[in-house]
Amino acid sequence: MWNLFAMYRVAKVLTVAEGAEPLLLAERLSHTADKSPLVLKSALEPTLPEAAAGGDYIWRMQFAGERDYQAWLADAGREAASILNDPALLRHVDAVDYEDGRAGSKRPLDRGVYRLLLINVNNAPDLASVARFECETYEMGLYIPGIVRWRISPVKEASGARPWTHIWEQEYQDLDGLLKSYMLHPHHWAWMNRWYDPECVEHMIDNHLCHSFCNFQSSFLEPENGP
Amino acid sequence: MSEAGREPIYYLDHLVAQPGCAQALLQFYMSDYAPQARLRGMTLVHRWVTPPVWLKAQSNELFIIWSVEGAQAWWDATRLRRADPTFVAFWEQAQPMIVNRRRLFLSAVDDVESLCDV
Repeated sequence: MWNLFAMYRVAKVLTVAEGAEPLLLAERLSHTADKSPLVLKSALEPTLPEAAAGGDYIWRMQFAGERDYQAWLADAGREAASILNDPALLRHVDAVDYEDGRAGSKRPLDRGVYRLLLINVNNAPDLASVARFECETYEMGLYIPGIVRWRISPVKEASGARPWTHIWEQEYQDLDGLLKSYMLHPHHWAWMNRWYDPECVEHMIDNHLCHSFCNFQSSFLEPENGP
Repeated sequence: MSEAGREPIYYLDHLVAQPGCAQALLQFYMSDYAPQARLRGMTLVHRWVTPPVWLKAQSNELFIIWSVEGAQAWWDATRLRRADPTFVAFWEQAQPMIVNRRRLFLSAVDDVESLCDV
């Protein structure tokens, strides 16, 4: 039901190559989105210093549908691709594109901290386990007070360090929401952890994750239901 | 009720041993898992068995309980465990002696409110 009017989205975690000029690079990439009417929203933000190994920038784009995304790729996206694929400019890129998954919201949030986690569910015993994982991940937003808005989405196309299967996004009012409320809540470490923990028999997620966060000035997690 | 941030958090390894294997499984656990876990900040609290007789032709069930102090200590121990492949290797080597197993994370009921207030 929650996909009825789903947007199509892109998220990329960029690690700038040594010697490249980060601000110029960000400006060039943003321009490829800003000049196209197909891109409904674009935000390219530097990652926060606490996001160790989380790249230098997070770039998010929103399209009305996958067809618009494909059209952008064939047009202004070509220029973006030439930048993204240039090892002199970018050392590493983890990227996903996806249709909206299940989202929740407790209240509007104009600015704050956006966090993404790219996940590779590569050892699931069956589809029911994947569905349960997705449902429980969604429920983290209901249980953990620091999560203000959230969305878990299966990925359509992925590239980077792993063939990412899911993107788990959250918005927080501030960094404490992520580093304290999210990390220290028992729903996380005593419940969801079992999918990630190689010592638990329920383990089904690749140990290598892509985790990063940045400030945001405008929410990309507008659920169709809720505030 | 414990001090906020220092609530005891328990790990329960519930192991159903292959018939006649419980003693050997426990011995292997204590020699190859326990020392590594202690080095990662985990404290061994209990080693329980049911029934309290070493069965020869049926399965004993072992309940091995560890603790750490607070959620941050849980993360510290977890990061160290995940960075060390010997923990996963232990479970692979122990598997022939196990019918099934489960690891659970627990707290005192009285600490639930404090643990969730983050």
